[in-house]
Amino acid sequence: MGAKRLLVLTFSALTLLAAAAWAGNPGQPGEGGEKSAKDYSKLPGYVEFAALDIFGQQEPKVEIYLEEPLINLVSKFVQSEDEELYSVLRKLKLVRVQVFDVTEELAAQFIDRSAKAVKNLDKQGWQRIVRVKDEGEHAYIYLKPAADYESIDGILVIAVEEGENEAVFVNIVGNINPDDVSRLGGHFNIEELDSIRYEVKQRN
Amino acid sequence: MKDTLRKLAEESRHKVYTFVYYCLRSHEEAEDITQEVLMKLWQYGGDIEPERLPGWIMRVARNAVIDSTRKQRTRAGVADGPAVNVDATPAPLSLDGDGEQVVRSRELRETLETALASLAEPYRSIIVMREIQEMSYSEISESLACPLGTVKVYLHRGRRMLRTSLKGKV
Amino acid sequence: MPGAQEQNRCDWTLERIEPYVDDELSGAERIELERHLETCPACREDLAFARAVVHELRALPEMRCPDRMETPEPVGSGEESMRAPFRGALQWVMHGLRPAMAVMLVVVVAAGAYVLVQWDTGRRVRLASTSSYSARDLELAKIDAMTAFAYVNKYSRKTRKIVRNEVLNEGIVYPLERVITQPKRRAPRER
Repeated sequence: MGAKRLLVLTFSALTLLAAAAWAGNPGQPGEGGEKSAKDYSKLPGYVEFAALDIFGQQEPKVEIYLEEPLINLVSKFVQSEDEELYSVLRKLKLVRVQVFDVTEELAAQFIDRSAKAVKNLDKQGWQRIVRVKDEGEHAYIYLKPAADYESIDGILVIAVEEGENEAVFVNIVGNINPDDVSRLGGHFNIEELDSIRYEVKQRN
Repeated sequence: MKDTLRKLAEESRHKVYTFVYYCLRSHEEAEDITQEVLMKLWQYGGDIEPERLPGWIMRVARNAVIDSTRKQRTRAGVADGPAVNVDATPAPLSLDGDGEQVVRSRELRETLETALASLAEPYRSIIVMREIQEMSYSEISESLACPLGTVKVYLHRGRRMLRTSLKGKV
Repeated sequence: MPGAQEQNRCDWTLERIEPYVDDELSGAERIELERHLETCPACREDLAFARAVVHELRALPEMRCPDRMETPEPVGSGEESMRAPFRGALQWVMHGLRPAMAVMLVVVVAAGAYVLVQWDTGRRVRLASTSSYSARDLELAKIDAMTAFAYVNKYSRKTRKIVRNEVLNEGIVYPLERVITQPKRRAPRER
């Protein structure tokens, strides 16, 4: 073994050991004191939705934040058992979901501010494909077509359901094929996924 | 790998520069974007399969052009200085076999370049890549991540749009 | 009506002029087009113009990137960044230290292995970076990702109540609408 390579190996091993000791218990994915170096806000499919500010310090009842490195790992994790899920996940960069409990008043405020906020999206190249406006129910689904018009750079869902007293924000960023959207989401409904999540958490 | 990237960077910079220039009609933008593309090549090129690199480079360049186009509200469409041409010889008057006369003039070229730069994507990119840069359909397909058949359809459609916009101007 | 028929013929021809210029029309279509051109001066003129435009496009020169713009390369990127005068000195030092470093490396690796085994982490996926996730973490993340898509579908299924549905781009919106309003029923996957 070359001397220089040996030196590099030695220092690498020392560094890894020091880093392992420093990392301690990383905790849940996305935590552990690690700040993401990547600025996802620059991606075309990313949405900074200012209307969410009305919730202030309120904790969302559902919060999902998956960044590219973890999504990538998950895709490899599922590759052997679910080729479909793998092929979708490996192209995603960011998945964000926030669901808040809302009073009637807060729901009305959110609807009002959302309606104003989505007008800016049109100017940024987003295309609205669904608008639901019915008693007690408001929803928007926007897509950001990729430059080649063959796929989507981002999906945005904004919804308020007065019956369920909740406000929903979903932003999925990455290279998304339209067919994948229904294929994935059609397998489960939210309640089923919630109960599966509960079971997994109970396991350890 | 580093040698591969270095060689590719050297070969690609003229190609990227040409592409960006004709899409945006700005030497300044062409320089900026070429620089940006080459930096990304060094940053990420090691993670990409070597045979996919040429297509990847053009894809990055095209995305940068689209970003730039989006930022510009209106396009002046005026070249900001004399072009540095590989072929500096002015083209002669030429006759094709049907007896039609094709006259090359600076005004005609500028009109053509302006009309080309004003075309919507992806037609503009495809025409630049195919007609000016002589890229093959499969190279264009790779660069745009677009099926080959679609590339041909878009090329023809783009040229028809170009013709329509040029009618009355030449 | 001869007038309308003739217009249709011209429209048909105009749609095929570009592939004709590229010699990409099928035999039958080419013959049909050429037959029309013989009798239609307007279409002949369009063909000439199309050819001229293509000719002019192909005559546009390739540009040369200015030489002042050097190919950027990361600084200190490896062996070639080492200065020759120091190379010799380093080699002398390395030669002397080689056996000691081999011992040091073995000690470090052994100590590292001991720490990792003792660490109460369960089964961990070790990455090149300092982060690590358990299988449980990955499973939860998978469920989270599917939940996000489930929300998208939950609201897209409500399209029976859509007040306004804007058709924007047949390449994206039509296929997506068909897909999200009628989720595909997939046959059970064969194992």
